[in-house]
Amino acid sequence: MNDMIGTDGKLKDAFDKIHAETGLKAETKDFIAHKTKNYTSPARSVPGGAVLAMACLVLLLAGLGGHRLYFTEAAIISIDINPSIELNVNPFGKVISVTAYDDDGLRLSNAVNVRHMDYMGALDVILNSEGIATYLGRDETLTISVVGKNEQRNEEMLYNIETCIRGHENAHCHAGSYDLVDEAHSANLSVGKYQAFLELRQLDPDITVDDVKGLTMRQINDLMDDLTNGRKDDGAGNGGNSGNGQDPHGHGHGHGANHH
Amino acid sequence: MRSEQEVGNAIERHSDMIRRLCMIHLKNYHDTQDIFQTVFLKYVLSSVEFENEEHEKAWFIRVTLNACKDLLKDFFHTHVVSMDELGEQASSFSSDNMEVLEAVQSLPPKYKNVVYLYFYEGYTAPEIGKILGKNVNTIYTYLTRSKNMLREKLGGEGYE
Repeated sequence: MNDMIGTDGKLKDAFDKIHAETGLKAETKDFIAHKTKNYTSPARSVPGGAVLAMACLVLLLAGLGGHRLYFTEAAIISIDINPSIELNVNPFGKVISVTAYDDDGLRLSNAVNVRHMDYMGALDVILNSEGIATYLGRDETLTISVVGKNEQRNEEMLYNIETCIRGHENAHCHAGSYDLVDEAHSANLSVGKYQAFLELRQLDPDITVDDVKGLTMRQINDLMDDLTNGRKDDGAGNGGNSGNGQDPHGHGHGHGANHH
Repeated sequence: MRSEQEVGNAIERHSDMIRRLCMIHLKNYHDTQDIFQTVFLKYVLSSVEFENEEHEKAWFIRVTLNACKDLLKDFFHTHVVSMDELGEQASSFSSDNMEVLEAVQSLPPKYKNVVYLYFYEGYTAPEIGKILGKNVNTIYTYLTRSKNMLREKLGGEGYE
């Protein structure tokens, strides 16, 4: 790379001098041993005395607010190829609704029934559905974006989903910011596609939401590659009806979200 | 739950890397202790089966960065970092070391991660994209911008 910040340079020299202190490692080992009672039981973040109170609270919630909690959205899994759908997932990891963002997405969501399934099971059904297999067979790109209100849950979901898509060619998984959800939905785009739009706009400030609405994820990625490599052509970024904006497979592009 | 030996081995294998990630993100040593505890507690309780050492390393990178991000969201934490975080280690640094580390610390968080993983750990842009859950083109953009920022801060040539 270069001799200033490359692996043989000053940056490597500086980072090479940073080590975890012996005391830090020892404290960490002590902490883990303490939390796991010398590796005999899983750590509890809730004090033992509070367990009964928690159980009562859960029962109360089940009686009074359980229904509402079950239908509270905690995370969104955006699945985008050209069909764009979102799985809305509750705090228990169950799919509470499916939202389609184009006609193909609507067809896909009508073809599979994944409501009330665990999100992993739902994803498995969707990825193995005939519709998705057809798109991937056309060398399209599948992007799955996970956004949630809790960073730790996001990370866990991302890990599980990455494991699930391993082996699916042209499939990619990303984490995203929940802050973008409202903006994305206002633009009638799934969160995953909206994130792709924002990345594209960093490379070409003239690009608009309407330009990307009709594009497949493969086309958006190709456009990003072209822009990154300085090969922006006339058809790129100036409308979904010309150049890369044309869907070569003739897919329909509905506007507006459809909830199921 | 993982065994004491597994945890001990993981601490030996990954502590230096986690320490470096903490150094570029956190403000003080106490926060670093918190991150170590969070990360290794998560490890001991995790049932994830790693395919190989690289897979395990990538898991630790992601969990550490998420833990740092969560900690920095706390109202009482700022994103300002200081060489005080390094404690006694800082005394062994040359002025060049200090200058480079301070330049990296001053970068926006998303650039720090990419700089560290690319230039120090030797990951490729696609690998970093996978670890951080970002599009590879975004990683290339971050790399270009961070190189420009480092060039501005450190001066000199050879940042191509």
